[in-house]
Amino acid sequence: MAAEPDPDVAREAIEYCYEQGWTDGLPVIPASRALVDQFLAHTGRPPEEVLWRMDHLGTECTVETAAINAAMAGCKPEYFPVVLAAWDAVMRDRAAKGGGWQSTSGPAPLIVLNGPIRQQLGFNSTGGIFAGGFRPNATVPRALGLMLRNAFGVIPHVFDQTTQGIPGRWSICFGENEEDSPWEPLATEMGLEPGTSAVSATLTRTYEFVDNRHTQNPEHVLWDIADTISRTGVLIFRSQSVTVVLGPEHAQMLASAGFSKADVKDWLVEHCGRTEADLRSAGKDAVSEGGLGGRSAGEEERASPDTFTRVLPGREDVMLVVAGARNAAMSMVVRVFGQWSNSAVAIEPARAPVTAASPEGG
Amino acid sequence: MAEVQGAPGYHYVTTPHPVAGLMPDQVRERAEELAVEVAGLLAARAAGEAA
Repeated sequence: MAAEPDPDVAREAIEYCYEQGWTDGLPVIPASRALVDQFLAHTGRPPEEVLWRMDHLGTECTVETAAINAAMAGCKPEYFPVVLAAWDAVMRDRAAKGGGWQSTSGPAPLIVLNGPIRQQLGFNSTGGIFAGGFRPNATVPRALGLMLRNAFGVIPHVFDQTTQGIPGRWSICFGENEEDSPWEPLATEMGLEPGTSAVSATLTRTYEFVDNRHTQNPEHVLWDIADTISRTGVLIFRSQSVTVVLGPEHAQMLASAGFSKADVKDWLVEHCGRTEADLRSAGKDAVSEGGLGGRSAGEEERASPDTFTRVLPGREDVMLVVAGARNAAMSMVVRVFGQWSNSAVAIEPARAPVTAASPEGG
Repeated sequence: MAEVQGAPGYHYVTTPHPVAGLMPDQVRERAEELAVEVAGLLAARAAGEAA
């Protein structure tokens, strides 16, 4: 029988990592050469491959640096292809390449998994998808946060200019509940072969629940979701993108009433918006020069108070995902920071034997 | 930022937040205030180079 690990030795190594400034505030796993090599064995990508370079800071992240940070985040070596695919997926978001990582918004990556990888590695896609408790869900997004900090040097109060940020910024990652979804999986909708293990990701700003469990009318649910999407506080530009994480009960109710995914998106595009009077009350009834932020309109440019202004330009501005438990009718409206890439990244197939995942993924 | 760009002693002027909500004439006022500081920086640099 192997000797029990010495907790004092472990703590010493963890403290050493704190002293080097490598942590996000929580303890990290000390990454030995041997451990990092185990991660690298799970990808065919060369260690020196540059994942991305932040030119204005003169920093970059290679596959090897990503492996070190994934190890420190608490990932198992077999999660590494998911970390790489998640990074690639979020970097397809134009905002991530355009300064989003250093934005005052402090946007959080939303990472959605499809395919058999969910069961193989133990990703939660049912009860408590936003609530923690599952190792792969918790550590994959944390790896991205540590990459940003340790490889790119985006550190709070230095090159990270976040004003307030988002609770749980580096913890939002879950599988789509394909088994309880009435529709095709997100990755299939995005053009990948059915059954492909894949990641879709985007940068996000807020997470707001819609609890509507007492109606049998699907349009009541859609109206409730539209009301949440149409909140004036989130309007920076005149249009926006959203992700709607439908709970299985809402999704099944909509599908039973004949709604396809495209129908849901079209309904939301048509109904999400505010009257000019509402926008005027918030001082957002005009667009500032250059088409960026909302601003108060002058007398001469004001539209009629009851003019309805839509906030979702089209279907491509709505990501629909089905996730969570089938035990109450609630969904989550997620505000997308920029615009989702409308794509999914296939996860590299496993190269080394995957150890069986426990129900907790640990 | 100056350091990572290879100019650790780079001088710059700052203006306090908030700035996003300023109207054009208020931006002009800020610029006029800052122009004095910018001129001071340039004059100090010129004096340094002359010395």
